[in-house]
Amino acid sequence: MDRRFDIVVIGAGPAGCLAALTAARAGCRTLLVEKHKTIGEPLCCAEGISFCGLNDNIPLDHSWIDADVERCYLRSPAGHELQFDHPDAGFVLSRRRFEQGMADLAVQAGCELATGTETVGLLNGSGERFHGVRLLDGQTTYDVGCQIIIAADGIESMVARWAGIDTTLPVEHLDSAAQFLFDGVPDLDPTRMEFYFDTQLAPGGYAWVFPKGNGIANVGIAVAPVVAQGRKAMPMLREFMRFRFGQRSPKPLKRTVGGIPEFCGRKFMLSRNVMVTGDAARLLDSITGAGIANALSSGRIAAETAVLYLQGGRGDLRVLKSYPERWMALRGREMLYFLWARQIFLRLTNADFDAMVAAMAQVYNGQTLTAIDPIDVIKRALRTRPSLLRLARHLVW
Amino acid sequence: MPAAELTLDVEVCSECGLCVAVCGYDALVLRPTILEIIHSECVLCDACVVACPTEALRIE
Repeated sequence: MDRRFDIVVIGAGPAGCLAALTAARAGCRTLLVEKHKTIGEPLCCAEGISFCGLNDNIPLDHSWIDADVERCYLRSPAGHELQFDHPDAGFVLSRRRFEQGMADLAVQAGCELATGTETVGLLNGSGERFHGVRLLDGQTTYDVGCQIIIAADGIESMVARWAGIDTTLPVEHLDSAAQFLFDGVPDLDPTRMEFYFDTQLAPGGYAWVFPKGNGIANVGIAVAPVVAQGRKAMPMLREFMRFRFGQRSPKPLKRTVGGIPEFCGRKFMLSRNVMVTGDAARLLDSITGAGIANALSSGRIAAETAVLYLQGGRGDLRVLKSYPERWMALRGREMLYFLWARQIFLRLTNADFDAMVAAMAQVYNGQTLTAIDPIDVIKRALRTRPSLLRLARHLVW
Repeated sequence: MPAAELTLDVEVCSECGLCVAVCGYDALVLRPTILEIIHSECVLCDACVVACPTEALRIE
């Protein structure tokens, strides 16, 4: 064994960086491993996060933010529009500055950072726990010992699979997304998030425009392959661009694609002494596809639990079970509700979207809201369509 | 005619990892700057081809 640490965190995304920062600040010997040479790349994200999703997990640093969101806009297939002000709605982050910033804080707190280092396997120990990880730095393979492994290696996670968790996702349980970063987006409100619903334009999903300051925006689309009948996210994004921009096509700066796995409950979060966080554990909101806030909270709680295990747990692996329990107590209700609502969402017709947006617009258009309970919004939307209420009652939550 | 095989268009692939998530056979690994196909494990089930947001993966 070349080196020993208390905790090895694999993947320097939002979950991994906050886990490493939390562990290092608690005095644990922590190693943060990132396979890419640069933190925050490649980007597979629309970068939106709510105020609470960020600030409840880590004190806000304004240098991480590209745009303050104060307004939301929704458009239905027939052109019904819903727009309301929400001064503390959230932010569009620069994921690159955000993760680099958190990694810098972790290093200041004593965490060791290994970029350009691939994790190629777990070291089997007593059978009850893994006793380290095998790393590949360029051409050199070496072993690092540790007591706890935090897997934050994203949607493509291999660590969870090595730990014996089958995280394979059936194609029916995911959305496939594509996005361009554009300069010079026409009619761009720098504080407004735009959402477009249409079963032709974005089957099973929606299209979005998220501002990033200085006329730049993330313009993307998520579609559910299960209802898209073979149509792909990237060509559908080009169709949406023609719809949104008309003849005034802005300049594409960057192309991004990615996947949004459906929430699967707590079953992927823990195996022996391996704690799985963020996208690796499929902790994404099944309606909006948002994942950063869940990545942050799961990374933070995993690290806090690991610290408890190391400092007072006397090596009792049962201590680690409080990680999925605490996370589910915090987020489980909303996540399961969204998972249930997704089954309705996938069945919505364009007439449903038109009726719902029109009805919501009568109540909310031009209003200033201070807090939005997402569950309440879904309930209100469903109430506008009696046929959906009947469908909803048939689906088991 | 050679047997069908899963192929990757590296120009189109953005390394998003969605295909790895849907692969039940450990036939895909996202290495630091490239998606690696382990042909000996691939059963040509088509899941990754369906999931891919671009048209980077094909069976041909």
